[in-house]
Amino acid sequence: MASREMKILLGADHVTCPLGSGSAAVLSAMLNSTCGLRPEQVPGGAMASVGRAFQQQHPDRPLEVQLLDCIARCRAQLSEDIFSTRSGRTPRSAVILSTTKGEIGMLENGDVRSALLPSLAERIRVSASLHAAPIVVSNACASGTLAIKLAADLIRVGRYDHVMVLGGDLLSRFTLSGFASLHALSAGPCRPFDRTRDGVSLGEAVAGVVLSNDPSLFAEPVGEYISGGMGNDANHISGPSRTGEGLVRAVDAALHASGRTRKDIGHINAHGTGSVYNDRMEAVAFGRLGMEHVPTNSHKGYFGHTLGAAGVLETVLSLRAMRLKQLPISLGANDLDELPPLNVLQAIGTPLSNTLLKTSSGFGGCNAAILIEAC
Amino acid sequence: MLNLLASTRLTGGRLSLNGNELAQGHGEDAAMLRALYTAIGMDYPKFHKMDAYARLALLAAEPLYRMLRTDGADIENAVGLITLNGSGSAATDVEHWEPVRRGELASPAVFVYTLPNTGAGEITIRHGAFGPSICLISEHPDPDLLLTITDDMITTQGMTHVIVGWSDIFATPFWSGPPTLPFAGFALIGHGAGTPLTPTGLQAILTQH
Repeated sequence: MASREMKILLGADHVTCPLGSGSAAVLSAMLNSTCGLRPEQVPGGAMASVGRAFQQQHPDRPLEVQLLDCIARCRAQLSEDIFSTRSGRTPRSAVILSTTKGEIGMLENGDVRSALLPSLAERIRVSASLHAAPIVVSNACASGTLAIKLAADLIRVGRYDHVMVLGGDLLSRFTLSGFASLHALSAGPCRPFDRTRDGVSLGEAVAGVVLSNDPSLFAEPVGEYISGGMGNDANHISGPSRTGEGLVRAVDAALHASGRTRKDIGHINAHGTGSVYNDRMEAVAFGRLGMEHVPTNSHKGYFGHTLGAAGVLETVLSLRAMRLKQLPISLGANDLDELPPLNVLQAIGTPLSNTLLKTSSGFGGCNAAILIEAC
Repeated sequence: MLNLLASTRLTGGRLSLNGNELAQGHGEDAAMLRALYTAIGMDYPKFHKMDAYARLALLAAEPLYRMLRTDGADIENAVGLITLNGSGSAATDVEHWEPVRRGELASPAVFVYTLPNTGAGEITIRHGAFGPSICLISEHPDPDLLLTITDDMITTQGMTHVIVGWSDIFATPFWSGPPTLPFAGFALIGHGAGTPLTPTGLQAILTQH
């Protein structure tokens, strides 16, 4: 087994979301309280706020095109392209893809086979000259955070030296119609942790970040991975747990693996979807964990819930915010819910330390938590 | 070294544990899965609300969790789960999309199953398992990767057992095997009495021959 002293750094990040392209530019828009959500009629006829990020230039394979662009932009920041078969190196690298529905537009167009996730992974392998098809993690809305944890675990045990984690999902009629049928969509921009929150806003994004045990790969790493944890609610297939049990277990597991305590956490970037039950579940969990004082935000008010991209996108933006020591406000949280109190950021905040706690929770009752030290 | 403690396979309408047939079901997928549910003595009304993917995964996992319960394993805290398949939730995705394509309303009861990890979710709910679970989608299982993740769950995440299961009802893009889906293969892995588990051995359990 690899040494416990090994450092796993994160860097070479890129995001494209409803607020634009490039991690620094997107964070800058967030610090100006820019909202990327716009009203749109959704299947079923209702109006909802959604976050559109991509021009529909490639009607057949819009997500693939965006993921390939993201891979190229991450690679361009590395001192050596260790992900390419053209590099001549032994394959000590891998790509992990976090997505819920992948290229779902192909199914909408009647091509079910091409919409399958292994098809997307294989097309990406060929087009990006990767050593192998990306490993696809599909744990609903917890996928992105879980993918980062898996990447770090696979480096820690010595299976790989470098892993690129990609997250991506499209705003599709498929997904919008489903959330509309659940009456889960907010009419206006979503308002995580607000007393009057009434549902989620869906968004689309791609995000990428490289994890590596080789510091020379990065001009400027954005973080050092510390630990991660997973937990299941074992409660309900589509509803969050009332007790936050799975999330508490995920955070506890991450803390246990790190040898740190709740007092070391400097900032929480929560899942914060804006749904009544999710946000209450998180408030209960963070209260149980004794973290109600930690500066906490949700990014969903800026660009919506980007599903499989969310964990990667929000981790990258949170690390960059911590480096600036300027934490974006939790956009939409104007009148804080009183159930259990959290330190939800209503003005730009300062982290208590450099340690980020990022959490995500998803359908199926899965929860993931990671601790990363911002560089 | 990890040991294979037990395995189940569901293929051709037959559910077997360690190669011994437990039950047989006939007819269309839904009828076959329902027949197996009855034959192995399950009494879990939620089963009938699930999509076929979740029913298949739940049935194949059931004998292994029964074994764990008999053996006094700490299912609540110390049993990890890795679920896999090639098609995600494609058959349910098509079912969700059909009415929407025609301009009709989607069914929320169908939509909630349009995520590949709902099989794992239903297994954890059925058995009260709060430990880690992960859902991976690939054309074929990657046994080296799966054993690496399993070993890490046991070595550093405090699990005593890990269940690794493939279940699919929809032929994948590069499918070349016999068209006898649904198929499920599940392995119970741990340090207890069993046979040493190699990547080839795991591959054989998770793959339809």
